[in-house]
Amino acid sequence: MDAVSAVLRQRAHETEPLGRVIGWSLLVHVVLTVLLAVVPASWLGARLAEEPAVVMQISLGGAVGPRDGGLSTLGGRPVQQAQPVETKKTIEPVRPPAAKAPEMVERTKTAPKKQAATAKVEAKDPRSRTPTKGAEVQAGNAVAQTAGRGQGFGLSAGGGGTGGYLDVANFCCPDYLATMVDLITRNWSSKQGADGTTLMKFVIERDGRLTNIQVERSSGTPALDYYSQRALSLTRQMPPLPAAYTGERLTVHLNFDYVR
Amino acid sequence: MVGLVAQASPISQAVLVILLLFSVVAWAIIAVKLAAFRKVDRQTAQFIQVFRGAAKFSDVQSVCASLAASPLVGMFLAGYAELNAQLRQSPTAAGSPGTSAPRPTLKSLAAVDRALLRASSAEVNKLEKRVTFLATTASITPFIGLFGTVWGIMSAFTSIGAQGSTDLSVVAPGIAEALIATAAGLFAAIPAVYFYNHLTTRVKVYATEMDDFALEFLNISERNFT
Repeated sequence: MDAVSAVLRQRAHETEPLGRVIGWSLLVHVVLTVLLAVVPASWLGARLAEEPAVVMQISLGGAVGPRDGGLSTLGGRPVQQAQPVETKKTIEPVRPPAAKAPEMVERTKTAPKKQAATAKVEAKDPRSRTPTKGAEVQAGNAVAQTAGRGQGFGLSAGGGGTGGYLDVANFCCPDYLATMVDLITRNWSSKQGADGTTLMKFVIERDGRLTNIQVERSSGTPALDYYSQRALSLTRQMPPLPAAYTGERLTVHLNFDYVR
Repeated sequence: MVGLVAQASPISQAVLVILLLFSVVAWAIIAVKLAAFRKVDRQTAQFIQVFRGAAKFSDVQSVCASLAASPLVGMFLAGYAELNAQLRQSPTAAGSPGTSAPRPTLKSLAAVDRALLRASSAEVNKLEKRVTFLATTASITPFIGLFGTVWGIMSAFTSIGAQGSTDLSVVAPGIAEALIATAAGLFAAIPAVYFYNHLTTRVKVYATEMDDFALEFLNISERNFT
C-alpha cells in the first residue's frame, strides 16, 4: 500500500462518537415530551370555553312566580326605593254608546262575556289586585346599592321559578329574556318527581342559536340534569339577539327548579 | 394530551415512537456535527497559520497530530507522504559524495496533485458523514406523520360509522389524536431541513478552502522541488 492510501485510511478511522450524544438527545426529547404533557392545555392555545371579558351578574329575579299566573315582567328593584304611582290602565272594550236600557230588561248574552275577559286580563297582573295609594316604599332584592346592578329587571315564570343571571354588564332587553324563558319552558316542566335545582349555562349566538349547553351546577340527580339539558337542546333556536344588544353572544346561567 | 396519545391506536403510537427516534438521532447528529465543525474551524485556522509560517514541511508535520480535526491536515499529510515517497526514490537523493548535495527534485507534480485530490474527496466524505441522515429525516418524517394522521382519521371515521353518530364529541378526539402524528412529523422534519442546509453549506465552504489549500501546496512544491 502506498503512503497516501495509508494516510487516508488512518484519517478515515477518526470519527466523532455518536452514541453518547444520542443518549443525551433522547433524554432531552423525553423531558420535552413530559413538559408538553404536563403544561396546561391553555398554554398551548386550546381555549376550553369562551368567557366574556366582562362578567357581571344581573339577577333575573329568582322568585317563584304565581302558579296560576302566566309570564309577567316585574320591575326589579335593587334596593328599597319609592315606587312611582302606577297609572292603572284598564282595557275598555269598545262599546256602542250606552243607550239607556229599560231597567227591568235582562242583560244581553254578550255583556257578561266581555266582563269576564276584562277580569281575566286584570287577574294576570298580580299587582292590580291591590289598589295603589300613591308612592309607596317597597323592599328591594339586593342588600346594598352597587353601581353595576343599577338596571335590574325581573322575570317570574309561572309554574316554577327559573332564576338566572347573565354574563353581561347591562343587558338591554328584558323582553328578549321573557321570550327566552317562555320558549324554554315550552319544552320543560318542573314536576319530575324529584326535588332539586340544576344551574345550566348556555350561550345564545347572534343568530339565536343555543350553543355550548352545559350543566354548571348539578342538582345531584342525573335525570334532572338531563331533563334540563334536554329542554335547552329541544329549544335550540331563539329569535336573533336584539339589535340593541351589541355583543357577539350572550351567556346565560339559568336555574331549573324541580319540585316533586 | 397524554390521554389522547395513551388511548391512540397501536399504529398511531408506533408512528409517534418512530418519529421520536428519528428526531432523537437527528438532533444527536446535529449536535455532534456542529461541535465537530466548530473544532474544524478553529483547528483549520491554526493549521493555516502554522503552514504559512513554517520554513519546512517537516515542521508543519509535527503539529498535524494536535490539529487532526482539520481537513487540511489530512490533505497535507497525503501530499507530504506522496512528496516523500517521490523524493526517497529519486536518484539525486543518493548523490555522489564530495559534491554539494543537489536539490531534491520531484518526478511528477501531477502525482502530488492526484494525492491531494484523493485526500480532498476523502475529507469531504468525512465531513459529510451522517449529514445525509438529516436529509433522510427531513424528507420522510412528514410522510410518516401523514401516514399516522391518515390512519387515525380512517379509524375515526370507522368509529363514527360504528356508533352511527356524527356528534362532534365522537369525531373530534379521533381527529385530534390523528393530527398529533403530523405535528410530530413536522417537529422532527423542520430542524432537520434547517441543519441539513446549514451543514452542507459549511461543507461546501470547507471544500473550497481545501481546493485553495491544494493549489497553495502544489505551488510550494513546484517552487521548491522542481
